[in-house]
Amino acid sequence: MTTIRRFCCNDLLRFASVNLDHLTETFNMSFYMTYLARWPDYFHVAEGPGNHIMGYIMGKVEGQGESWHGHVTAVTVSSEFRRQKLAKTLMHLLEDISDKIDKAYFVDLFVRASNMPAIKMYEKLGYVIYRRVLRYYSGEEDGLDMRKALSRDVGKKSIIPLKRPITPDELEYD
Amino acid sequence: MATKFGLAGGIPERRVRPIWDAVDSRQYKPALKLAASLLSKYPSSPYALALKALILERMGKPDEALSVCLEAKESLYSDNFLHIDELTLSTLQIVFQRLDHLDLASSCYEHAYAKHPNNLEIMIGLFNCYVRECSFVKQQQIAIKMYKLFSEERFLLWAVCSIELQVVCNSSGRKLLQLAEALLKKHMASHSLHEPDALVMYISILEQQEKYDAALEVLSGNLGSLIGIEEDKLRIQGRLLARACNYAAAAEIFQRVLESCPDDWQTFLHYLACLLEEDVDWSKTNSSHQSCVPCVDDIKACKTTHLTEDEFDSRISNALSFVQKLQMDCRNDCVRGPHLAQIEIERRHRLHGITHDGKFMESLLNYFYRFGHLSCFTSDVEPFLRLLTDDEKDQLLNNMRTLESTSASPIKALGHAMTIFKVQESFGIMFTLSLRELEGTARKMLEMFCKDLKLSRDLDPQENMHGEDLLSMASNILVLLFWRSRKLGYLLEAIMVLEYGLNIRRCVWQYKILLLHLYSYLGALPLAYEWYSTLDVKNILLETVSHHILPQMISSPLWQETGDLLKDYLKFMDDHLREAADLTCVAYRHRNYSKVIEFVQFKERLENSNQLLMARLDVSILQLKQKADSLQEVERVFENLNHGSRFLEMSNEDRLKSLTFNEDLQARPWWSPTPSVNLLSGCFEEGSACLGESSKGRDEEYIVKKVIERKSILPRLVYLSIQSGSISSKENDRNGSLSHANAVGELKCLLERCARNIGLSFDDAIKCGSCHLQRSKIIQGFRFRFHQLDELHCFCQCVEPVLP
Repeated sequence: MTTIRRFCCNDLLRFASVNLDHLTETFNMSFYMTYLARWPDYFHVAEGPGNHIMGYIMGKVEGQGESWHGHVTAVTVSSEFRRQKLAKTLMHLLEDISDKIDKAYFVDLFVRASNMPAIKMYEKLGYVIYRRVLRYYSGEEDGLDMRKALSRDVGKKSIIPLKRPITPDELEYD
Repeated sequence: MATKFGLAGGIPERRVRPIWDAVDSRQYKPALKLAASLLSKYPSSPYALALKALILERMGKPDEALSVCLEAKESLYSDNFLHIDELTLSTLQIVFQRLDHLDLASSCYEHAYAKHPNNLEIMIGLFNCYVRECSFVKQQQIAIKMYKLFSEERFLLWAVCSIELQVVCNSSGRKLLQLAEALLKKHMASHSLHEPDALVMYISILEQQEKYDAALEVLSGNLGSLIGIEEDKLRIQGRLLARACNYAAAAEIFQRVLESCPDDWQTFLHYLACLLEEDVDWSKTNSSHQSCVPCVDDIKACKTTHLTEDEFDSRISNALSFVQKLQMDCRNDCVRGPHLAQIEIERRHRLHGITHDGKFMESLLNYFYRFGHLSCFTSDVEPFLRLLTDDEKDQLLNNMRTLESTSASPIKALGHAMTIFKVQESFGIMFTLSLRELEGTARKMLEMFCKDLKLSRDLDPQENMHGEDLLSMASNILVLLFWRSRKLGYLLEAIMVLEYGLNIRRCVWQYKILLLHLYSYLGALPLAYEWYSTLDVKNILLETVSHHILPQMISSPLWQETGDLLKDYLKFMDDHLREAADLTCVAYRHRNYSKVIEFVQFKERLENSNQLLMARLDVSILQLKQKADSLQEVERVFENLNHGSRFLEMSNEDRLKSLTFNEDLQARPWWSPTPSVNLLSGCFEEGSACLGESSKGRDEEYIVKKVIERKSILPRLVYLSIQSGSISSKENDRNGSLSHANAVGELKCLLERCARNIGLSFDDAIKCGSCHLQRSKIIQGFRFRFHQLDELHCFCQCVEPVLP
């Protein structure tokens, strides 16, 4: 029993049990609120009975031409509600919005190269490693740019892996 | 900043660019030099002055920055200066905002607007100024002017939002809603609507006026297609139908949502409420406002149905068939909704007085059979467990144990075993066991944890282990053993259990929180603080999680660390409150109008945070403590506090009434002290199972308000007592602005208020103060006692000048 609805400001005061997790970043307020102000359709929360926050996904849509794409900025699930495929449900929601409402070509995300459980999960969800971004995380760890093509990208051109790694300054978007 | 180039108050871009480059790279000194040279060439250019002011502000020279800014403003206003551009205005605005002079920024824009009444850029700038000032009426007026000049939908919606904000925040008359509706209607007749959030706002305006049919008509017309997600549209439609008391149609709509989203718990509750024609407060579910959905265990709502027995029976059986169909259709074994829904239906039966008890229990057991291995099982069914009688509780546990033994996989078996422990905890059974049984249970949990460690062998070290909760539960039992036996050894064992767990997995935050409370209880605050620091609490978590450590630290001698905690928290809040309105401007710009309303309300909620007010008081009281050795420095602190009067104003009755409580208390152990009670310091009482729950209630809020009031009096009390002493010794001094009589009068008044606050008469407070070891007579909890004792000492010292 998961109610998935748009994330609202008050949820920021109730997501401690999700964000105290060491792999979940708590961003500054303007970061969350800019996402809410600009891409409210890409910021959803899953709520259980008793109004417990189970997890949430935040993202955005950006790019020009064939680079017009949905982006997953964060997806996280509280430890109490893991192993129920909630992350998958949230990812599908964002993919659906990117695909059907915004007619994007693909969805992408960045993940630490060492975060094997997450990489495996994204692969199961149909994402492929598009390219490696050298020292993406605080200038230390490499990041993997993973992508999944949407229906608009008929030839799945957007996900053909790049042959060489890139550096963060070569990234098209922040 | 780099985007701000162009014609700047008539100064060529090549002269301005190096200044911005220096500012952007934080090279303020060279930037200031360049600005000075620019000023020598353009001595009265408002833009050059604004740049200088901006640099001075960044250099941490607010007074100089303000004076240069005012000079720029004056120059802007002078008749000689004809060209006013947005770049100059926005630069001035940035500096005025950082100097907390929003009004001055607005007046610059007002002046520019008066000179150039058709300039859109200036009008938008002025609108944003009013947004920052929360001047909703002025926002509305300028938005309407923009709409009239440029006929754009967004400006009309800016005006509508400004109207809505007057209604929501200032409780302004509902007539304003009629105005908003009329404006929108007129626009729609000629231009229709093009933004999804414009439609949401229009529906909200109609809904607030209880014009549900009109709202439904709009939604089901062409405009309805603006709402991109079909289920979202249906949810709004269902809500409007329910509010119009068209329950049958609403139930049908919610049923359609459930067919495509069978796990949507809220929609199921709405469906059931409509089917049973119950009275639900739908205003809380309005999509344009903060979504606070009604509670699952709202027993009152369940009792408000007016259906006859037969009607009730037939509808509930319809609901049951529908839910069973959903269960059949759902092949996904992670969808809990339809199965929990069956328990909810049986609960309604029960609350309605129909005792199909067997079925209620059966549905709970079925749920256990399917989802009992999940760690959220207990929190899912908690509201339902409360309805069971003692016999039923025993029966349920026995049946669960039987099912547990049939679990096929070891991971599921572990999950089931943990769930049974949690259900026992939830029933309060731990409070009724003998010491030996409790020890046995804790031991069993630990053995189970150790035995099943191998199940997590293949997991990534960053993943959560199977059976993690066992150590938290075992440590809670050890704390209970301490409470009942007063043997400190149990507390040490609880600590060892958690430290052991953290040795295996360094990142389990639940263990860290329990540990920090245990160390706090034992007075080992540096250790508690160390564990708290590893939680990496930052940004908004400072508001919701700091309560785990702040109260203990404030009463401790760890002044440096306490000061750091308070400083970090206040910096976060102040920074956010300063920039919050800029984010509202972003929401306006991106046409997400419902977010505009949400942002303004959220800012208000944070501004009224009880913790924020308390921290402002504590940081000043801490400063006074730290400077206590030097009267001169103490006086300097008092000067900044307006001699303590500032706090008296800050804690007035209205302010206290509107305080908000944003702390997330879910992770607090049941035994951790609260402002009103410290269970472990008292004797164990049987049947105390629910104490943890009751401690989270409104009583706590009342006590916090009392503490704030007391703390707000303290600085002024101390100030007056110092002053009355020094005035009386040099009574005949010429410039005593505060006369001895006035000081003593005010002192007495505040002391009386202080005595009333701690529930004593003035005379009793003096008696208690003079023999302050009579503490137990006034206070119960350890922390509460600590606070009051501190204040009682202060009371005694302050009382001297007013004694005959």
